[in-house]
Amino acid sequence: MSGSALPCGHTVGELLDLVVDGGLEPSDTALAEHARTCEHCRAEIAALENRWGPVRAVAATPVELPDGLLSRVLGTVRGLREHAFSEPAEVEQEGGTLQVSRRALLLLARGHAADVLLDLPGVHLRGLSTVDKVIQVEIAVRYGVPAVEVADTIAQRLVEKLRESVGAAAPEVSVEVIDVLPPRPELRLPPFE
Amino acid sequence: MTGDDQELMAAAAGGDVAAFDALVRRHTTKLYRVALRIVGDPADAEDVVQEAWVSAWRSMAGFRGEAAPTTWLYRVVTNAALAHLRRRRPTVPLEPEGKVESALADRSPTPEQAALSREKVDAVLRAIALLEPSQRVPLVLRELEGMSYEEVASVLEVSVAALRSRLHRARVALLAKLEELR
Repeated sequence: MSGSALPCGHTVGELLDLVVDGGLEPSDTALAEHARTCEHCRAEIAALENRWGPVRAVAATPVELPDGLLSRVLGTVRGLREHAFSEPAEVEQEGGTLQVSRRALLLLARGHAADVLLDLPGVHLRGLSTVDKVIQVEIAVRYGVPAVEVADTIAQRLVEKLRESVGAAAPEVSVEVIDVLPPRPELRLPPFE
Repeated sequence: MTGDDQELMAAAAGGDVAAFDALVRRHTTKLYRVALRIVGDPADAEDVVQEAWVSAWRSMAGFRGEAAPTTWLYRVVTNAALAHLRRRRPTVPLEPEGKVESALADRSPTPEQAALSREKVDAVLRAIALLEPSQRVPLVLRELEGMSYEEVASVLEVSVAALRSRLHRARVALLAKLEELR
């Protein structure tokens, strides 16, 4: 479309940028000056204004924040902060002991949880914190996802990954389903294994 | 951006937890809106917002004010959204679902909105979701967020000339997708 030339020689693409950027009035370019008086350009501009209208409507439509998102974000960040000065976990290894801060463990768990969830369509991380040195994972699942089985799978895989990373210092993991999301048929959830 | 944002960012970068929480309260709606329009799904958008704030918190100490606070936050959420799109399994379609539209609340509709059918608005969201991320992101920031060319270029860390070129292709592609969806 951008290369389509009008009888006057200008292209639809040129006019599209003019329409979207609102550059027709006030006119300070040769194209805008020409377009205001060219019947071909004026007709095309009117058509483009009409076609671009829904995009402007979307831009003007407010987006509602999901219930609880703000408090979940604040909770996540506070959870990380609280462990800034916590006693570190210790990993025995050849040549000495490696200390891993609780905050680093939490961030590590968060990264691993995101990796685990990649293989589980319809499952979303809603919170990750530590309570009494246990990693507490909160998830939301789509309707149709077997919640109990998926929670067990996440706990098992997360513990495995943490053990791979920090060995015996890997904390326990507890997974809780806190929300069920409406179905989304096009997700084509795989059969649960 | 406001002067308050500058002060809050400076305080948060210095370890002021209340300042960081204030930034979260102030900007989460904006970050969610950008994330939703880029990833096309409310649940995925929430994942992106959580990740973006964790990322912001981790890198806040390194904020030196080279970019405006809002620009910096847009960059953080845009990067989180792009990372999410890269990581998302191919079995998950990019097309937004009904809930995307329901997340776009019909509060105080403008006369323009009232005149347009709901279907047309929904079609725009579906068409945007079908664009390549390299076109979708600048389009969302410029056409839906209403940022200036200079601001978007700063968020994406590209030149204004390069941005204009990408945006032109994105606009053309969007209109073509809208035609296909008619």
